[in-house]
Amino acid sequence: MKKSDIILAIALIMLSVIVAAAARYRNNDDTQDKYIRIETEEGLYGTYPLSEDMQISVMAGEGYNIIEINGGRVRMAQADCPDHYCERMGWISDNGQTIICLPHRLIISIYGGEDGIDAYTE
Amino acid sequence: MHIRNNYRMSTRTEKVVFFGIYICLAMIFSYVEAVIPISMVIPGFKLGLANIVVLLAWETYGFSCAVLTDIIRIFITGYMFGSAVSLIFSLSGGILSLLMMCFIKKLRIFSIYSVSITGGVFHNAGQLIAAGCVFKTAGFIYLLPAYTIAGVATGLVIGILSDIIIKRTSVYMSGVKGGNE
Repeated sequence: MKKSDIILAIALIMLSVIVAAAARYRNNDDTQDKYIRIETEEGLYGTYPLSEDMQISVMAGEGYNIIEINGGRVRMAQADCPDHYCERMGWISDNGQTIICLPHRLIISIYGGEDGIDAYTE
Repeated sequence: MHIRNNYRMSTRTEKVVFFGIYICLAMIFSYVEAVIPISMVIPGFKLGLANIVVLLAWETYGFSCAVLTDIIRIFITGYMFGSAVSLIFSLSGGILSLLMMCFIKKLRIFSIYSVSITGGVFHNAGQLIAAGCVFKTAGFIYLLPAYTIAGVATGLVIGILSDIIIKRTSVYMSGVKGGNE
């Protein structure tokens, strides 16, 4: 075991950490690949990119839900369900997060982005 | 040293014999690793025992023999125990590690430990790149530090073993250029 071997081993580990950190840094503000899926009792209602700000009105169950996408995040802006839990869940922006409105059987989930593996297996 | 004189064969026959032995050994090592799972800590974690044979082939008959041993080993084990996807993973890991080991060896300032460590690290890196391409995601890059540390550890173990084996077997092989360094 020479000194050069130890230096090489440490250099390789540091290089890998730097590469991973750089990838993380680059991906941080990356909402480009993310999209949301809105599912109701009847099945898939639609998919929308997280990069465009918009409001989506969904007639679900006996009522309505208004979903708002803003700045790479999504929330339930308004709903006429009895408990309003979905509104209180607030903004979500990460892959795998969901907002569920149980009375209307409506599910919003985020797919894609940096952990796209989940999008592949769904 | 009298053993060495008794073992004098024509170089061509000798090469064929040792080449066959190397591929067999590399295959058996791959098989042993496939049967005994030490992949408890990180999924896909392996010791890389076949790399001992690759390094031995390298010391004995040069880079081309090492490349052939590794590539043939990957194809045969992939055909026998693996699937098409696992063959792609092994092949990309094998090719990348061979190229990087060649580069490190050509620099001549590193010992066999460094060559082995480089092989281990870039075998993992090549597999991660292949996984990223197959599953079309960059998410695998976050696993790189963990796999690099694992590659350094296994590479060091394999390097020590290879060093011992090359030094002890060099007596019996007329083609050997010399043990470590």
